[in-house]
Amino acid sequence: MDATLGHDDLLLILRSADGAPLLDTRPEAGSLPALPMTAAGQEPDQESRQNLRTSAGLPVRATALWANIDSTGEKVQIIVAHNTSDSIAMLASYRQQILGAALSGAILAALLGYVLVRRGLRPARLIAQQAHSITAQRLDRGLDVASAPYELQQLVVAFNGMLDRLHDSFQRLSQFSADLAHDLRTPINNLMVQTQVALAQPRLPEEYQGLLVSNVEEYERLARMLDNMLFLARADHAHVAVAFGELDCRLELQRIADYFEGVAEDSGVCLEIAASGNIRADAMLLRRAISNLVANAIRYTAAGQTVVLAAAQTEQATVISVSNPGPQIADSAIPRLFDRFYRADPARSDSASSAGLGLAIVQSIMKLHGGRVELSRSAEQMTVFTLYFPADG
Amino acid sequence: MRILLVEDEPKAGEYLRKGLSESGYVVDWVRTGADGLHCATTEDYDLIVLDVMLPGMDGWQVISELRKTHSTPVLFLTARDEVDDRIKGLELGADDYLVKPFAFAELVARIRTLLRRGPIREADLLHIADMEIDVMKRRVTRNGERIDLTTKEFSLLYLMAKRQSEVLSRSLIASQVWDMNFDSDTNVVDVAIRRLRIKIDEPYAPPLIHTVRGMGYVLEDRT
Repeated sequence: MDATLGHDDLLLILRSADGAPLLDTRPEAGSLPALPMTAAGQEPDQESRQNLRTSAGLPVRATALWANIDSTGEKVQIIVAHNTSDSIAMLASYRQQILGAALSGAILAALLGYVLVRRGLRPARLIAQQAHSITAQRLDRGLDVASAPYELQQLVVAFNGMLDRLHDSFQRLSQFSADLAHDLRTPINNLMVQTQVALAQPRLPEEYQGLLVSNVEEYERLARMLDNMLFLARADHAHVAVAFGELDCRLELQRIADYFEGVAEDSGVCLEIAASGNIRADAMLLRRAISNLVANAIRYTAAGQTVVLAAAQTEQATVISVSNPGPQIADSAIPRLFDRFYRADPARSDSASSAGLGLAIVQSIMKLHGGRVELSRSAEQMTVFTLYFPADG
Repeated sequence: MRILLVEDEPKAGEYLRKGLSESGYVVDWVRTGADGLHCATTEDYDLIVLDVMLPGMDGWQVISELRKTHSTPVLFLTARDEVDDRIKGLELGADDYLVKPFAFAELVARIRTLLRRGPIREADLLHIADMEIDVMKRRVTRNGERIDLTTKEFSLLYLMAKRQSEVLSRSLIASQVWDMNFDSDTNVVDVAIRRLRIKIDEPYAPPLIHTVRGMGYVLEDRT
């Protein structure tokens, strides 16, 4: 009884064994529904404590137990209930506070995130702006690696690498177009002007014939140039059919030496063959590649000297080389030597000879064979072009 | 020999008609595929020269229609020479295929080959003026005197003798004698002809090897 005093929240009800009320500390709280009874002398367990409402609507947590009164041996019911309305109200206010805090936290986080992401991606926007300013004419600009955040630097470096390659191809392409236009200009000019001069006044039939013959030579030159360019364009896209066959190196080189026999003898150049083994290649393309090299070699070899056609077989490749003594190719010319229309020595580009496509064709043919062409200059003043044909084709 | 020429381009048609007429053929020239097919099926021609790119009905369609009823030899002219095109042309029944730009001598040579019925009779002994070529023994004499030739010089002379009076283009000679099937910028053929002339023609009369300016070379007795 005393224990409940000063504890407004605590309700204590005592009832006799038959349920007659003995004591109710807070009658205004109303009556409680029936509760499971814990036997006398036992601790009330968790299940016996129940959340309920009194008949007056007060939320309580209550438990009930039997007790023996020692003096009389009489059994009484003890019901203890604790008013939980304050706790519930407190929990509700907690809930609201937590909800408010979580909501404002989420909004704050979103705002902060937005700001941070925008700040963080500013370098990416900068890169995008730089990328916008890159055009075909300004491919060499590239992106600023230093301004990119660490995570994007790899990407920027890779992107710049791609730009460099594009720039290089683009330059070659523009150079090629310019060279092509230039190379077309000369024969077309010859054709146009000599025909106009001839037509300016009446001439003898022989003069007309001479003009026409000269025209035919120019046309044939143009046709050959077109043919070579078409070949190169197709080889680039692997549109050239390669008919692989097993060929005898010595026979093939002999055939080419026979072909150039007269031309070589005319310029006092000797052709020598040192060859063995077989080669897996397209006969027509192989002859075309080697004859381009031999024609060049004869052109640049002085009378009395020897051009050597050699072939040897290793495990990985068949190696064919054409070497000639003669003026050394300048170091500066080497990187562009295999470019289309490039001539190492512009002064020597007499109109009748190859239009600067010969070595480009050799390179294309080697690519079609999965091989490569290399230029080396030995100590004995020899220029050596070497063709590597991989053994597995 | 009658040739039907199907070519829509006026300039090309005109010079082909003229050139082939002057080479001794009777040439009928039509400008469309439909006309070409009509003429080819209603009249009798020994050969048809057919351009691939024609308005309306193209060369492919003409030949596939024509092959249903006729087996007249067809020589295709085209500016396209993709491998696929070649295969298509030959599969449809074209007998030969010539890519523009071509040498006129080349066209005439191809036409002659197509018109040559049956296998070519390869004579063992060839006579031109006072020159005798013994093919089996690979021996050449003029005026009874033995002339020494290298293997390739003999091949070149034999090619020209076999096709005497026929103008041979440089690319045809390079292809037949050295098996070099591409146009080269080098003057290999001219050099070879000059060297052959020194042995065959210079010590004797009349000269047999003649230059046809702008076209190629021909071997014939012009006396």
